[in-house]
Amino acid sequence: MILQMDHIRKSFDGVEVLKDISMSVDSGEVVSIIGPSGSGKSTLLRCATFLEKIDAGEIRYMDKAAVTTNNEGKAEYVPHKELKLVKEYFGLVFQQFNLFPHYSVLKNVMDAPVHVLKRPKEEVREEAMELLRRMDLESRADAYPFQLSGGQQQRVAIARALALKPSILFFDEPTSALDPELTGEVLKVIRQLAEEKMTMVVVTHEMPFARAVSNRVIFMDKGVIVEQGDPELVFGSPSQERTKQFLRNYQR
Amino acid sequence: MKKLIALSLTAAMLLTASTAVSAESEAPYVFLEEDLGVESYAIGFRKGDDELAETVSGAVQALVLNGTYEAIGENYPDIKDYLCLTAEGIDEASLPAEGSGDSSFTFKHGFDLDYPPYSYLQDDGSIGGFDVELCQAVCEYLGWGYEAVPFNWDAKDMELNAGSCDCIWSGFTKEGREDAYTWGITYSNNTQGILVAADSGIKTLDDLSGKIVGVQTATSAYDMLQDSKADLAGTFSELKVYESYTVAFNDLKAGAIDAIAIDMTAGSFLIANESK
Amino acid sequence: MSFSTMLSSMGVGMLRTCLIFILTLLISLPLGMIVMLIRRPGPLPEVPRGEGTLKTLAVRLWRGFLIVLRPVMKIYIAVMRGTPLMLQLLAWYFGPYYLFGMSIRGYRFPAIIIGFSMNYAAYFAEIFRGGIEAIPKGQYEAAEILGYGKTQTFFRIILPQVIKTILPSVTNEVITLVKDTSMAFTLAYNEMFSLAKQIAASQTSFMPFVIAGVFYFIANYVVAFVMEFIEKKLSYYR
Repeated sequence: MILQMDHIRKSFDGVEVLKDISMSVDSGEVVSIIGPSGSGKSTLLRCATFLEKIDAGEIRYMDKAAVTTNNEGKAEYVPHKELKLVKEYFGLVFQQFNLFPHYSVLKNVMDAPVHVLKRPKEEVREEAMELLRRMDLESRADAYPFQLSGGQQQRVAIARALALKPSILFFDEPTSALDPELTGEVLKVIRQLAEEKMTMVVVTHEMPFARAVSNRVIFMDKGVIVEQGDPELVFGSPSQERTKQFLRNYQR
Repeated sequence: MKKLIALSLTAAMLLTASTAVSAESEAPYVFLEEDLGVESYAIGFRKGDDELAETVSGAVQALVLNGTYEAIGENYPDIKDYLCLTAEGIDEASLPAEGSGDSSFTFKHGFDLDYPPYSYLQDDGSIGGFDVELCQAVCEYLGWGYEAVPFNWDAKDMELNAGSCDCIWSGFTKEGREDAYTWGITYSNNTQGILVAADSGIKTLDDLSGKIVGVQTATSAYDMLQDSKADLAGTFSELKVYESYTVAFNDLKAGAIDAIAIDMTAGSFLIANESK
Repeated sequence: MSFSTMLSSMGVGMLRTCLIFILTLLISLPLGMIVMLIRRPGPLPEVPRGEGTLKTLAVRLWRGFLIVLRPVMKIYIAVMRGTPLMLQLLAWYFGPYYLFGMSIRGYRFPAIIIGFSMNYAAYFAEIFRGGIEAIPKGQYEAAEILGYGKTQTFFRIILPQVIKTILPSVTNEVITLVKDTSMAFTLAYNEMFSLAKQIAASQTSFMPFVIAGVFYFIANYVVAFVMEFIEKKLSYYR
């Protein structure tokens, strides 16, 4: 088990956006999270990556506890040093890419391994070039983010996340900020990663992609997981009325 | 609450600055017996404005004859003793008659608003001073309109040459500037002196050797120390040039300088105001 | 007085003007950065659990420091920006005497530098804050996910971008400073412009003002040139 989240609760200003959510991700699994906007799927991802603090519940990575619930039922995070180690297990690709504009493509990929993990520069450079080759961006290594298309920027962001060799990679609507004709190149890369058995959780609105690539689909609405399972089942014959309604709206 | 604190802090700063203008101090201030020299205050006109200079000078003399000149002087005890015009020797026949001026003409009086007691902002906020009152009386006598043109003293020549004023008349020293203007009548004398704290131990000009002396920029005292009294200035440890005597006087009170070179009337005014 | 005598007697003043300018910049830029770091809105640092006691103590101290100094900095900035620089110079110089009866002999130049630096630090702090707030939240989040520490995030990711954003405003402020140096004459410090006024008055000549104008223009041209050079250096990205 790579990720285990149990009974997660999260409120913003008294409005509960995650209502007792539990989910887990196994090694090599590709999980897609779908649902209408405001359903809490992005918040779930941000809680899993500690960008938001949960109010209650437990989070474990690779059987290491990151958040536990104390006697009063409140979430309690492990000390900073331990949390830092847990953070190395995962990576996150943002909807808005969030590349560092003042760094070249290559430096965006190399900077964290060199300056955070303190790995030797030459070794990191070779790996980074290999990653860029896989992203079909080898020739743009010296370019700056503003010189790239959205699709290219997102592929750099994926390479940057992979450079830290995470055990699990999260994607937060990776194609939502892209022009329609550019989504394909990003989805192709994710598909490729899936074939290489990379463990991934993808929040997405790309239904055909979710159906084709993931091993499991989670449908969320109003802060709860309504239905989850094999993509063929969820898309082909959903058991819940809410799921059917959502998918119908999407096909129109 | 925070705004209140901010306001009160600002007020405290304003207070510091205003005490810098009016705070009391125990030490009285005196002039050295030796002075730097006597100078005459006259009215400066644009070069070539001879006719205007003559008319205004005539009117001043007429005011001497009818007693207005002396009456205005009574309002300014600090300079009363320095007024040098008397009725003696004035030929009444050569003077312009009362109301003989062109009533459509407005005489523009250029002066420094920071030069008491000749021209300054009075306690009630109005513009006044000996020169201002005298000039107003001249205009009234001739039937002219009067317009006050307070200017930056540094820019006086530009103001005059540009025509924004018709004269420079605010304790304006003639000496050393004889050729730069067409001069009207000399209506007051003044003596440049050295102002010190009474308990400073400085008694003579020689005692100023090695001391810090303050002076306001573009004043006769400054010019004197640059020119005819340059030797004396050479004995000072430093000649500190100020933008205004107000700040210099505060420095004297605070002990940051030892003496101020200033004309007697302006100096007396500072001392008188200090004991208020 | 010949043109060259005029120029050479104003030369001393030019050096003094440059001295005020350089010292003020050297002090106010880092000071503004410190003021901004204290005043910057945002959550107070959390005291870490179960860490070495020394670090916990340091974080506690910094936290208490922020709680006390944040409102103070706000007031400081409000006063510095809300009152004339001339008044501030008078207050800095005469304050110690009138408030505490201290001797202010020899304190003139330090008072001028303190006055200018404190004033400009307030403006710089606000410019820096604007620059920091213009950085998208995503940059911080990306850095956090990639494992950068707080200090690393600030110096490697945020600061370089901030410098680029604030450069035009800083250039404006620096140019204003060049011209503001003439205010040192409030405290009888004979910088270039006051000398120009004195010479102009005694010589009944406009020439010193022309020289002063040319001096300010050249000084600001140099400033603009240097800042443009830095801007160009940073224009490799957008």
